[in-house]
Amino acid sequence: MKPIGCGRAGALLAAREAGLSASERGALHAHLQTCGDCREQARLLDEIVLAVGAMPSGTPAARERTIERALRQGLAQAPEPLPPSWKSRSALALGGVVLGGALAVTAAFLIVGGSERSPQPPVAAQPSVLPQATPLAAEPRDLSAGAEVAVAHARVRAVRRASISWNEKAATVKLDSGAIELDVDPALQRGFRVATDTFVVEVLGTRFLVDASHVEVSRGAVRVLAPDGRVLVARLQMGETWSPLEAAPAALEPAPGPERRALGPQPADVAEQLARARRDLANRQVARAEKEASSILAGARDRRQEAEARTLLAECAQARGKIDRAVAAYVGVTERFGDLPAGETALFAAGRTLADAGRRGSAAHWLHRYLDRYPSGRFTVEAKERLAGIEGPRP
Amino acid sequence: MISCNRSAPHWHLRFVVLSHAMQDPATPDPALIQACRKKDRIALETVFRAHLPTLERFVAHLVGSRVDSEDLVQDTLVTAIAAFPGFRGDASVGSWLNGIAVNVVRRHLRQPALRRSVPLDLVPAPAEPVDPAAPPDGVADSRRRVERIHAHLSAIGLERRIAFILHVVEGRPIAEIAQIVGASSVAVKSRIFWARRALMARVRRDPALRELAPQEGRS
Repeated sequence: MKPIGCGRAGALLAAREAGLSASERGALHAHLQTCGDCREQARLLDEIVLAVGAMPSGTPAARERTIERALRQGLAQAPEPLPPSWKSRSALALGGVVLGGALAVTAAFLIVGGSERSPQPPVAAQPSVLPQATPLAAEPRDLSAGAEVAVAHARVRAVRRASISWNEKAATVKLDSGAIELDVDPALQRGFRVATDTFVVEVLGTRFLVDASHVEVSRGAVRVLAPDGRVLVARLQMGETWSPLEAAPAALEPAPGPERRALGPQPADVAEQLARARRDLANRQVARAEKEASSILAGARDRRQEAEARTLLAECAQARGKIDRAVAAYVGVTERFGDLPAGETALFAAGRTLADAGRRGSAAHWLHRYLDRYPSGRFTVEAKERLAGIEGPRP
Repeated sequence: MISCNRSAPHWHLRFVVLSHAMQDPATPDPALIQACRKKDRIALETVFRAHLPTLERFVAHLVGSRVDSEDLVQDTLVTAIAAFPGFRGDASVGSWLNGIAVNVVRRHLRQPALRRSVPLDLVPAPAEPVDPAAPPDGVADSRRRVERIHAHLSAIGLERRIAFILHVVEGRPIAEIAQIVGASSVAVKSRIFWARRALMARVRRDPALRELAPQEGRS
């Protein structure tokens, strides 16, 4: 048998698990008899293999859950990937930043193309790049916060957890709960409606936010109708909001005009400042929202305001993708203000944020913490649903 | 009246195919793979079930954490579902899944934003709290040893670590590793050599490992 050197012996030692031939085993054995360094190396390698191999494997039940979750996630119909024109607009809306001259054309499109009466710019005259409609079923579909679906020629994003359904014939999204932001493509010049229990928003090419209590237009214009079709607001334009609560009882009649509130820069009080910061955040003006929240925090007179301002800062961090910072801020709110509704919301938000970021282990921890602390809380059902999604159904 | 259920033969056929595949998961029936390409739930389940233990072990070896590895295995399966239509069958399904896992782990370890690490104050309490009354026996020593060795493994560079674990720990042949990581056999051998060298140097220098009770090596 030909003797081998330490280099070859090292390679053979490393390959032991992969299998050695009889001659290789013999040569290695002979070398180890005479070389103390290689014997020591063999011992250490054994130790490493044992240590790494000591990692406990999952139980069969855990494996089944992993497969089930993966199939649910992998087979679920994901929204179509954003085509270039959508990416441009989303980037603009998200960052609020125009990145040099290349995006200037896109910015012009946003401003001009968002108006229902404006002529279509060249960029908008490309319906072929628009997303295909996601076959959103007629039955309600739950969207977690931040989730997006493409519906006909619109993009629907859940600002908060929302339940929506789609009536293709009437081109209407029915909002059962939550808040959604819509980006409707102006190129197709087709009608599109969002119906809540109390009002209907009719649009042609715009970007706006709807929840059960208000509609807020960030681009273009919309018309607000009563459920029976009467026109409540003939034209609600960019930067304006309308609420049936504020407009009532006039909203119940075909009033000459809505109660409009321009998004002015001057806060009347902390409550309005908070409301404005929330609107900024909803419009992805994160820096502005953060500035407002910090300002509120500096001048907060009571714990409730402080809790809300801190929650806002957490939401801003989340909007920036700073997940750890956001979760730490939420946890801070819940620890300091656990007796307030904001404290409860923050604890659930910590778990939800981690779950949305795919950090299932940590998410489960905070969701369990939420359920332990608030067994009959406002988010108990959703927390249980999310835990079931993470850990499988609970008994 | 005799009713005709047109879907029955199809389901029967599929059952037969799956049964065959379950007998030999290493070389699954082409019809099973074709069903996976079409995102057939039962076919995907069958393939995943056959390969999950190996995949799970591999990912856990790479990241050294059960919590992270569970998430990463799930991500691997989700990616595989989307990628199955492009699976040509050049490699075995196991190697292909391991290749996807390698990419998922690479992304996890290289992009801080995707890392599941959480600040210490956010780390969940362990499921089984350490019993303070437990004696500092060999179990604790063994645990410390495993932790130290994983720390050293984490420090030797991802590509080298992947090659080292696949070859030295899991005993995979060089050619298969080359296929999994998308590199030449020469590159894989080189990575294993440098990984072994770096790891040996680190382990030998580690006083914590020297202080620990000696472990019985394999014969």
